Amino acid sequence: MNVSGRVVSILVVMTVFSACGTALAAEAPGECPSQAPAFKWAPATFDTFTDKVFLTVELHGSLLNDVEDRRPMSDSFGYDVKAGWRWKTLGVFFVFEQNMWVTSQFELGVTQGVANIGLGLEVNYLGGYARTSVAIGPSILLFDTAIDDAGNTGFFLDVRPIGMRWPINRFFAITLDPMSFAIVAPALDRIPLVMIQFRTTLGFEFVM
Amino acid sequence: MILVICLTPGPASAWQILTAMTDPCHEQMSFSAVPGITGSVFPGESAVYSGSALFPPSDVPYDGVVSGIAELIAGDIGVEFDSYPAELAALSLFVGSRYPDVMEGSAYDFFVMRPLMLTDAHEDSHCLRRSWDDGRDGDVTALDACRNLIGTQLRIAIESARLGLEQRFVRHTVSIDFYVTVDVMLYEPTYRLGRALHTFEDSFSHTLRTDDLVQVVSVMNSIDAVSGDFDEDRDGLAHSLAMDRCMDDASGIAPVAAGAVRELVTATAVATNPGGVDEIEQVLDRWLTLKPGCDRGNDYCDSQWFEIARRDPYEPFIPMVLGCGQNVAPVMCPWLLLVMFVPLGIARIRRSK
Repeated sequence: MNVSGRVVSILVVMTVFSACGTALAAEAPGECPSQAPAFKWAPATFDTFTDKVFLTVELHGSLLNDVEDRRPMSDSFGYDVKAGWRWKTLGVFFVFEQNMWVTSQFELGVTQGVANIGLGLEVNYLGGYARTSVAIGPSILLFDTAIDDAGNTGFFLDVRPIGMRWPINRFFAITLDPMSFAIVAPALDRIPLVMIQFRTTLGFEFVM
Repeated sequence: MILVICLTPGPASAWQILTAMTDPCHEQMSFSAVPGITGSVFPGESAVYSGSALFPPSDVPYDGVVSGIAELIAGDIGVEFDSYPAELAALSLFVGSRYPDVMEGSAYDFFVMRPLMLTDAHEDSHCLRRSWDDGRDGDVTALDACRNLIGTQLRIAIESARLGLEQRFVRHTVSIDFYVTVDVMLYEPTYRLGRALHTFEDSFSHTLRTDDLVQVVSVMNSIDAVSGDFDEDRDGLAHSLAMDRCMDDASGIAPVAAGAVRELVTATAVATNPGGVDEIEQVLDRWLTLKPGCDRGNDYCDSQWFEIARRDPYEPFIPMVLGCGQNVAPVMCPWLLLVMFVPLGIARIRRSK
């Protein structure tokens, strides 16, 4: 198994264990994550972030990918907007993201990349300071490559094993996913266009 | 991105090839000789060999992947193709003329590039001295090896052109953004022509020539210069990065090289035709003849190109890019190179276990 395969396996296992552990914890009486005290360094708690609609705006970048021998080929960055509903532990959301791709082989530049639209599930734990999430949906190519045309549609999968959330006040929080894993595959016919990205994501969340 | 900047120009460069940071010198020279390709910065007389089997015929089957990649490189190089056969010819020539520098990989794949630079096996394809090509005799043996390699590739091109159309294709890997590598079917006669042209073109950037650029005065040396065990009296002139810059320092040499390329392509195209006269050897005689008796002792017969050939010589790579060698290369951010290299090396070692 190559490096990418091992990293992906580790991330998936971490995701499964995190989700299972959180689900068990949620079953235990008196351990509702919303009742956990705030950490010393956190100015607010997760209490006001549950049973509400939430909206998140995030920026992500990926300097690690499945062609690490050939860096900087396939570097990418982008933004996303999420909207969803969160119960105590579980949350569901809709996500739209644009993932822009850097060209470097023959010319330095940035392409429009892909638009990813998906549905996701999140699990919150450690008093809401940590979360694990998965999102999946179609990935739409936004520019003509040498081989595929804009509009070509495949799929994307975004797996975030452990992300962090710092509530700033009752309604706003900063989120950080130090390392997440995404498969972006907007073209699957002929010569597949599949990128495996290891992303770092910083975001801003608020509830209403 | 930092790594790209730090490593430009790359270690295996000859005339530069198209990357995000270097000019498409080889590609422009080679394209200037091919029918159906316009816009080269080295324009010459219109081709008289249209219809030669050295290039794809008008009824060659269409391949959308080939066409797409050809259009991609056309935009990056700044040329245009008038038909699909011209696209196929261009891509075949593009891959062939880059082969000695990157083989089937990417210019950013350091684990492919390293052996290309550090072994004698590839020096003749760049018209450079091998480690044993020493002294005045070294000029002779190195130039012979260079010429033999050109002749071999051209003979393969001609033999391939005499096969049936469906047998004239060869599978090759092309490295492009996002797809990493793509397998394409290239037209072998033109692909082999590209490999020969790379070496022929390098005979202008890797040798010191007479003022009229027709005869070779001395063949340069990369492998000893990079190794750190370099003695100019024994090994000849060190390979010069300045000589690789066809649109800058060596802009006075490149158009002449492109003209010689057109001469060689014309001779090969004629030889490919049934009953055609083979004048390839005459062309090689004209451009690859050594002027005897020139070395460091007599300032290489006072060649006017000597001053350029002395600029930015090769040295052991790390001191050269870190700016602590005898001759400092123009690198923008040298110490970041180390920061980038360490994780790459660790990843590679782990992967190989």
